[in-house]
Amino acid sequence: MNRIVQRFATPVLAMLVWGSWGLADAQEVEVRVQREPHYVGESVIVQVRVVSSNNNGRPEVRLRGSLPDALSVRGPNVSESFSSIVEYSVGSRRRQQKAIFQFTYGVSADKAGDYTIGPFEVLVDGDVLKEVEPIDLHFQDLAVEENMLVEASLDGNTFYVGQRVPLEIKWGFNGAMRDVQFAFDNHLIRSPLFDQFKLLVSEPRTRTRLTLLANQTKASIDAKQTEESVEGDEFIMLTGRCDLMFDSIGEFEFPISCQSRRVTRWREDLFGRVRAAAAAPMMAIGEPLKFKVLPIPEAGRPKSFSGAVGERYTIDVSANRSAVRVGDPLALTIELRGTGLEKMSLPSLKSEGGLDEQKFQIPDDDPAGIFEPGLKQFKVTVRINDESVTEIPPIAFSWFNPTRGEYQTAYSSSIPIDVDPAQIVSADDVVSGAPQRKADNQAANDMDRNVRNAQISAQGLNLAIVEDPEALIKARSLGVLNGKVAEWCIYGSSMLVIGGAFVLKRFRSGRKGKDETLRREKAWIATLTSAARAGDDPESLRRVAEVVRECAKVANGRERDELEVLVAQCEAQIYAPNQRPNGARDLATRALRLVERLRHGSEASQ
Amino acid sequence: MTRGICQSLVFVCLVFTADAVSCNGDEEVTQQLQSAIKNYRHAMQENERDSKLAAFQLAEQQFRQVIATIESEQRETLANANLYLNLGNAALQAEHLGPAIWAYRRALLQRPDHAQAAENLMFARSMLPARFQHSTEAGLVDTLFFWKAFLSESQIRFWAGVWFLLAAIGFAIGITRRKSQLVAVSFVPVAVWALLLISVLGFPSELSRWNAVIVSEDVTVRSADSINSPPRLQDPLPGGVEVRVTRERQRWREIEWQAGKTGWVRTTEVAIVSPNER
Repeated sequence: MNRIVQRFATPVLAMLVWGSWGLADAQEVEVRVQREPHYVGESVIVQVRVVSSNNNGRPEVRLRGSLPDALSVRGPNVSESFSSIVEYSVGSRRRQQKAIFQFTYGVSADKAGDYTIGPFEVLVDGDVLKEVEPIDLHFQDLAVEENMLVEASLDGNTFYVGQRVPLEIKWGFNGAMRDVQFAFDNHLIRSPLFDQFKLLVSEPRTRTRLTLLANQTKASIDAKQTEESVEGDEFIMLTGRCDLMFDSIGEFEFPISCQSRRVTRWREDLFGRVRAAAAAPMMAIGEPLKFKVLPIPEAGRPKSFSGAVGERYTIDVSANRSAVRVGDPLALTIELRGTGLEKMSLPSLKSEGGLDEQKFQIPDDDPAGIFEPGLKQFKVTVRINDESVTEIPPIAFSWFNPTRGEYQTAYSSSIPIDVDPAQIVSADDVVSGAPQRKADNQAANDMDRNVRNAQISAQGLNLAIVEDPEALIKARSLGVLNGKVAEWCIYGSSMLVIGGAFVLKRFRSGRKGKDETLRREKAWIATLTSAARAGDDPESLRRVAEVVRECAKVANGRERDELEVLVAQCEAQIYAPNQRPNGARDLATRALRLVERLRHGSEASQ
Repeated sequence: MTRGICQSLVFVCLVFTADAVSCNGDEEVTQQLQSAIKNYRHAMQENERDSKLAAFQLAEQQFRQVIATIESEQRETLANANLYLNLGNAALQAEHLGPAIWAYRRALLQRPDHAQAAENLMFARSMLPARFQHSTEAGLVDTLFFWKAFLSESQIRFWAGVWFLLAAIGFAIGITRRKSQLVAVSFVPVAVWALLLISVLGFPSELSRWNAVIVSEDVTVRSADSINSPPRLQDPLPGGVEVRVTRERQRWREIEWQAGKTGWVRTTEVAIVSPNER
């Protein structure tokens, strides 16, 4: 046996060594560490770079050895790239493929000191191909920056479990505006407080935000910028608020710190813009927060208490109906208003003078409720077992008021309700013809449905009749309104009114025109009469000519021709050179006759 | 002239807004009504099913006779909404779903705000097979034209006419007195008139769309207006289905019970809800 082992062991070992060397040659491993200095709290990048020249499989990197407590490692994040090179030499062609895998670790330390991590192992298909020596890292404390400050404050120092407390966080920086902006852009506020308790952060609405690190994830809160004087120095302050929910009991002290970066050198680019060329990390440490979280007292706890801690809660109850029958479902909507209601359960309906179990049938299950900011709504269906019930009694809702250190209770308003006995109208009283309607399967389905409907909807049926014969015989008013005749009458009247108005308007305008004509004719006659009396005066002749011209405008036919002849004769006398007009009286008399004739003619035609 | 217009207006208002017109309380009608009420009461207290049904049927018949008498006396006028409600209740309990639905709808036609009729109609409809139920959910249009919940369509049309008359009077006074402001103001009642008419003509309610009710049980819908024509449906239409009458021929009516589904039934098997559409 030993012979056999000795005979085969040497060649097998030789083959394994050769094989592993062949593989090892095919893999180049390189470790790169981020250049120092390394600061506490800041992540240091460690990269393991594996270059594979053959298709030997996908490599993996494993970190061996135990890590110091103060050290934490994230990763690795793997990135890979491939390249192919073709070489030609003396008529031969050689193709070389290369794959580069980068395994990136983030190493951070909580305390300053020298640490060692590693060694790193490179594996392919589970086989260790190469081992990289451990690397040494030196972490140093961040210099506390006096120009930066961070503060956290709570409203009080004694709280109760379940209480929601506003937390105010301030970040400030004293320096030139561009330094402030750079520091603000790179700030990160840390505190174990954010990890220990539930941080209630609403969605930021502005771009000015403070960044907090809570449970290894970043959270942002809206911040307001102010300028404050701190020990004689002017600080740009940013103040943000969020809520903390205390969910554990005890005495606590939490440090708070902020890390950021300070520009050590500015550079001006080609376009004259100033940019940060080099920056160094910096840190600010705030006063630790000390407070106490107490349990909610057992003494004096009301039965309707369902875990609410806060102030100013209200409860409203409404019912979907005001009249029910015994046994009918009655849907109650219970609305709680206040803060911190997300996980609030339905308060007990029975406690503190609420619904009497003898008179109300209350479901045992606890409905989830619908939550909106500031409101939680529950819908519960109860049934009334007793017709003596006259109201839905007030429902109590209790909470613990941390400011007062005592329990408080709010009550809903009572809801008056009419309860009728069940036997007056029930599903049996409502006779359905549908079950006998069909014989086929469809009919059977319909029957089931009808029965179900009768059971469900009987509550909406009122079979009482009006029994007063006088009231029944009395016809509904405005019966005439139902007729189309009434409509036609109205529209006809409307048209008549509009038509009458138009006729009246036209009549009035016609009468007005006639009056004007009469007045004008009288004026003409008066003018001509006075001209006839005046004798052969050129002025009288002109007036006669004017009147005749006016008459000619309104005259027709023969009168118009005669008037135009008369106008010509008047003008011949008026414009005759070096000659006094004679026959003006005669012309006026002729004109007067013509006007009279014209007037009588128009009267006759009308 | 203006005085004449005002006198016309007063006359029209007096004629058309007379609030209560009592019909002559005929002794016979009153007795019939009292008998119907008595029978209904008796039926409610009856425990035996057949007797109960018989009493309800009798009450239904008597209520129907009272309505017929009143409506024959008052031409173009429906009987009291409560009387239709009584008829509906009696018909519902007498297993006559079709006449019950028709009666409730008549009551609502008279008084769209009649809560009891609306509730009972909803119940009666729920007894129909699901495939014959029409959606009656209120939509945005119903919210916008809220007055449709209180006034019937004919009443809305009447009040639209009144607003039109007001506009006409304003316009007439404006143009005769040459007051352009009055003419402009008269467009306000024109707008109200248009809104009222749009609410009725532009957006007819579901009730007015399905303007008739199958009042007989198991009505065979035929493909033509002949007793020998083949049935349109495999199963007959149950009583109570609300339909739309699209055409009318001698002793036959064409009905539409769902969008696009039409057929012919006998005139006596379907009752039209609005008397104006008769």
